[in-house]
Amino acid sequence: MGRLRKKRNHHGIRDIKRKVSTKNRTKDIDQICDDLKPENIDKWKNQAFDLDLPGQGQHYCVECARYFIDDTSMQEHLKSKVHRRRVKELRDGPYTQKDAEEAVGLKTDNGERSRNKMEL
Amino acid sequence: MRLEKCYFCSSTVYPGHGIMFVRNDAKQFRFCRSKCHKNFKMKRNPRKVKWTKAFRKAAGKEMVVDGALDMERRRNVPVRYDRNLMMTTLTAMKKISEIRAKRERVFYKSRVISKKRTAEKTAMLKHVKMNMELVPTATRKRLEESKILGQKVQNEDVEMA
Repeated sequence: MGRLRKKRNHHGIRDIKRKVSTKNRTKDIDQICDDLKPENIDKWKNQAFDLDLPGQGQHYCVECARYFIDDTSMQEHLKSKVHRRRVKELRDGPYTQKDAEEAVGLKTDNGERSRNKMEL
Repeated sequence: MRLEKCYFCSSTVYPGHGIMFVRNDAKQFRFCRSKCHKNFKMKRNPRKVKWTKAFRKAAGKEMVVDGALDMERRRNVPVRYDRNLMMTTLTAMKKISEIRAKRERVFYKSRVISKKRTAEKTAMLKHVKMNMELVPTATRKRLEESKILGQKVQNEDVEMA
């Protein structure tokens, strides 16, 4: 028996490909952090009836960006590990390009703008 | 020439390199290589991935507080072109990057050495604990009094006696 192939064994897995494709993209953490802000959260919690959505869009978990068919399944979800893990993840806050740049010491310093400088 | 920073690992993205992802809310994410792009697609948090700058900085692996790091800033205030100022800035940039590299080397060395020393010390102490009966009585007493070996060893001795 020759050497067994160890790399690229999971290359053709359909589920992973579908999950990662842009068509099926789910919301990112920073988008959810935006939804959770007090000025936006009401919009997500009190949605209008939409027949295309599961449960007509009436049972929505904002943290996980998921629709549920009824209240019981929603309450079940709120107790679940997936939900609690997501809540914990959201506590850190969103990671932005600004954070990426600050990690290499690239910060912004606009100083104090004075009128004299601008007149030069 | 605009040099961007990678969203995931914070390394520099040179023109013609990497890939940019534009989300459906028009937010842009630049990546230096496919490794970073793939990790982003997997929705990994750069703060939790050990090889990113964000992690290394948060975990104390990189120099964070230093005067040499406070010089480079993005200043959005327009400055009138001045040849002398330009020349001094260019020479200063070279010098500062040299100083920064030197200090980072020192920081790295001290970090690694201190880690190595503590590891060595704990290994030695463990060795002494294991072979307590070979230690001369006087030294043993002193060790127990100074509490270097901790409370656990004393308890074990009592049980043995």
